[in-house]
Amino acid sequence: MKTIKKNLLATALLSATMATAASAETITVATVNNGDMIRMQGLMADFNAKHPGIDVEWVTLEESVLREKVTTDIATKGGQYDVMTIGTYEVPIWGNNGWLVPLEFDVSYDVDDLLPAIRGGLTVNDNLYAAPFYGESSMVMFREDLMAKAGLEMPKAPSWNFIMKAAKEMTDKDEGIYGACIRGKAHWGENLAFITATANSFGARWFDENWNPQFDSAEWSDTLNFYLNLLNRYGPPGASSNGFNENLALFQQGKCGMWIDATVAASFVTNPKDSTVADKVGFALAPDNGLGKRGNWLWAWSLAIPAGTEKADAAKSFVQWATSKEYLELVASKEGWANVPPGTRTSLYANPEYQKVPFAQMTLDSINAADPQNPTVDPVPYVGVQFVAIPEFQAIGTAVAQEFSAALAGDKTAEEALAAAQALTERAMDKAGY
Amino acid sequence: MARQQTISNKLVWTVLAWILGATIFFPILWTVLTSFKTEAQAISIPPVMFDFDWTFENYETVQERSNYSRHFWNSVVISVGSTLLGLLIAVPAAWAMAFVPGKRTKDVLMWMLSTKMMPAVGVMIPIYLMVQSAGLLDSKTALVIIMMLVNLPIIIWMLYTYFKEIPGDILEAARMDGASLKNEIIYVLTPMAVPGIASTMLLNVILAWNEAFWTLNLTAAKAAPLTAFIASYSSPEGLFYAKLSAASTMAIAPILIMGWFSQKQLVRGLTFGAVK
Amino acid sequence: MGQITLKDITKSFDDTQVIPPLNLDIKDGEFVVFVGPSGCGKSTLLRLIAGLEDVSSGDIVIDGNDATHAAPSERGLAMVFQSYALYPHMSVRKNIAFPLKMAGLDKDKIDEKVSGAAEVLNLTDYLERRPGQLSGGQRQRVAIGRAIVREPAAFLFDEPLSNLDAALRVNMRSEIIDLHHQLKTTMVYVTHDQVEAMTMADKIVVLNAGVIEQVGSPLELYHSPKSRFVAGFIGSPKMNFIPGTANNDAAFEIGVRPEHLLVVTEGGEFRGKVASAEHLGSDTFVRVDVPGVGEVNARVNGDIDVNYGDEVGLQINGPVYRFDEDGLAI
Ligand SMILES: Nc1ncnc2c1ncn2[C@@H]1O[C@H](COP(=O)(O)OP(=O)(O)O)[C@@H](O)[C@H]1O
Ligand SMILES: [Mg+2]
Repeated sequence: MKTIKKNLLATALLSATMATAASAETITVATVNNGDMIRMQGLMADFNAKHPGIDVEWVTLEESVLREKVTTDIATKGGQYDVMTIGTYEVPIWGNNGWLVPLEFDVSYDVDDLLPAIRGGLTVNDNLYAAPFYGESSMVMFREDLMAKAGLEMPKAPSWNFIMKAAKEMTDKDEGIYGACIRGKAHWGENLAFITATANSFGARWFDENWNPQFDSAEWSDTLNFYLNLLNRYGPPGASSNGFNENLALFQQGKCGMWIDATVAASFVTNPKDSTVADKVGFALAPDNGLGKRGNWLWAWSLAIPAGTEKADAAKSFVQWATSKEYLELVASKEGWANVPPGTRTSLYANPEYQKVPFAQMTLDSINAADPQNPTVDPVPYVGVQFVAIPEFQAIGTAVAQEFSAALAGDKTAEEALAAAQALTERAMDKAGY
Repeated sequence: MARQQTISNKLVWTVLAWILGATIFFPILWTVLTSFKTEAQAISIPPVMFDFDWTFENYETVQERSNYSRHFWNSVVISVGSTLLGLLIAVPAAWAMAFVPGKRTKDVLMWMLSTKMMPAVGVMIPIYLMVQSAGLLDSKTALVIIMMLVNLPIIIWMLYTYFKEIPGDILEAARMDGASLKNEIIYVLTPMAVPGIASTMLLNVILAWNEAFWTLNLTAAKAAPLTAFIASYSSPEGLFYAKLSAASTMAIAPILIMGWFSQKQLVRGLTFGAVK
Repeated sequence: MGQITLKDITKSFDDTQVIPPLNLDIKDGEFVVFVGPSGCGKSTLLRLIAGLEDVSSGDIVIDGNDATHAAPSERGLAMVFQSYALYPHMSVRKNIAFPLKMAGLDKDKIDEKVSGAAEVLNLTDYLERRPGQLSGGQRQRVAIGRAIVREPAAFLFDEPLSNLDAALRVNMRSEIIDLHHQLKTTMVYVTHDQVEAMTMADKIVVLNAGVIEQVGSPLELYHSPKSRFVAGFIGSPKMNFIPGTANNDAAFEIGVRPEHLLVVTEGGEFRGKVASAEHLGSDTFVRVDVPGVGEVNARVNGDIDVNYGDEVGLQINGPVYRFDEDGLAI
């Protein structure tokens, strides 16, 4: 009799606590500050209506700070975040470490609708570890008026040689116009992303199949020399400190003939509110050298659930909502098709409404032209187009990025920079036990 | 002749000081100006200084998007809380070191200062784990304690230097006048130390307010102060300089205003020991 | 009452003995001056009496009670510091009232005493000012006011006038002397200035490296110094020291005060050239370079006609002090 009473009481207490937990569950979402993520924060009413039991707290941070915090949190099982915004670089590593909850959605989510290249980058051992929120590649953005003035016509899929020639013709230093605006700022996510993607199209690779660094190859020498020539001759002054934002500002102010960068930039440079050249911009695929790989990268900001969370179910409801087809429609209905987060779903590009967006097709083609599983001409042991998805890459990459930036600034020759990159990568890889 | 020389000397120094002051202040001015521009004006080449259409849209956006008052309150609690807690420990410590020094007092002081020379990242993981196992991640309590520890060496040093300046004669006079130790502290020592304690407090509130390593790394949503508020507007892909400037202006305004009103106190606090 | 007795007291800082065993009696109502060169231990001795330093050994008896280990506040003494040591955050009124407040007197009584002291010291108009707004002399008077309101058994002064300019120093000196006449309270006064000592003291204690060289009234010290040190320290200008042999004297050294020498054209004990002659009107200070002896100073009448380079003689016209190798008077 007594035990029954006790059990009853315990059950009552337990269900009471569960009820309160269910009635006000708060999940914390860590995210980067980009337009699409901010827009989502404004559309939370829809989520709250569909999931009244879940409150969402946002932690918006600068990318590098976010990466640092989220890495610390997940490595120490800190449990501060229930949903994390992470990139294509982290997903394969963290998935492998067992740090992320594998995502399984119901049929309505239509996981097969995700763009194959993007989905491939987020999949480890056949498990999807993160749901893509928006995907991007890189492409050529150019000034149609300046191209016409130079008497040239941009092909849909230009070669690097054409880019060099066009840059030469478009450059007019007296007018303050530079043919090629390209990233030179030293960081693995800035200049190195561009150079690594370019190297892929030159037939270069970071490592051979036995993890031997390849910076001493002729392909790397060609890549870096080409990059340096292009920027030294036809780039803006001080290019070695220009990143995405600096080039965006230059392009919007009409100082650039061409800008090869993230597809997401297309919506900025065509926005008449911020851009002085909004109606003069054309798009083309990232260039190639005819070797079968183009110089474009692939990146997806994706939502993942850390293995340490106690609120996995609520977190999953949120991730599913945020990356669903319905969410895309929600954004379209509120803010127009041009503001829908791009690059995640095939169905979006099949939508005739979305096809009217000027850069839609080019974005899709660019994304499809990249293959993170097979990024290079020669085979490699790693995943990733403009990065190598191993934990050591951030450190190595930034060190190499500094060498290349120094070469651009004229502090080193291309050969010296490559030799230094080779040496430091060898050392780091030895230490890491490859 | 000599007089003329000192006058022109003075002029040179004054001009130099103004140039230096303007140089230091310029980024702040630029930030404030940028916060009233549109994003397009914020990046225009060549830059515009004053000649633009003033707009409040950035402030409106920031207001809509972020919970400023929560971040503000967290900043207040963390900076003031850690400073008060620090004073509670530092005042007795500095008294002891200044008035009853032992053989190793100087060494202890140097050692304390040397802890400031270690980069914070070096102890990031252990401290993170300690805070985590105490269940204090993303709590103001943890930050008050950590900020207090981070600034404690500076607080003790400042107070120590200040207490050192109090002439021993005056304390002895109080003793001769029949004051007990308690009365000596209440009626003579403390009132004389008040300016020093106040400027130490001000400086540490400012330091804690601006600290952006621990406050960013140990908080997520609930306890995040204004540093996190600023960080949420910085973006590597997308030009949000005007909004970032608006957020920065909102974050530094309170401390700037406080600093302005307590200038005299601060200058005195920062230069004591240096000039007599 | 204010009788202080020091019995075999010593004081060491770490391993350095600053005061070797020392005995001294100070009678009630006496004005005692500790005088000696800088660093000889005057302040230390005063601070031992005050209780601001602990004695290393020996006893201090105040008014018949053993005060060796008593706290400063329990000794019933008041002290005036060289730096004045006023409380900078308090008004003059509060400064003077502070010891009374600590003693727990009621407000009316405090006000009465403060007004009384302010009147005596000419501070009535300054009571609401802060020490920072006062001149040096006024500050010194506030410090004295703070000391007198307590009605202590004795006053201790540590070079109270050395931060004042010369004119003010003379004024304050007589004010303190007047105060002593009015209050008749024991005063122990430390100075390195023998003029102050001579003008103020009932009893002078001459200290040298922590040791009492001699105790006595100003004139006793002047007329009968027990050692070369005291002889040289007391009196102005300084006593001349001359090797005994130069005057056919058996003593190791002899001492002659400048005022006990006459300048003569013919004869005299010593002869030499005038190195300088300072005509002050009332007196003339003559410095004579005596071969085999060195410079000898004389203080003679104001109208004497000597000039630089004159060949003159010096004639002893008063007592000659004689000292042995150890500097003791014979
Ligand atoms: N607190 C102290 N620690 C060590 N030595 C001291 C201290 N106070 C005084 N002395 C030493 O004792 C000697 C006597 O000092 P003091 O009494 O101040 O001399 P006076 O007042 O006669 O100039 C000096 O040699 C001084 O250096
Ligand atoms: Mg002294």
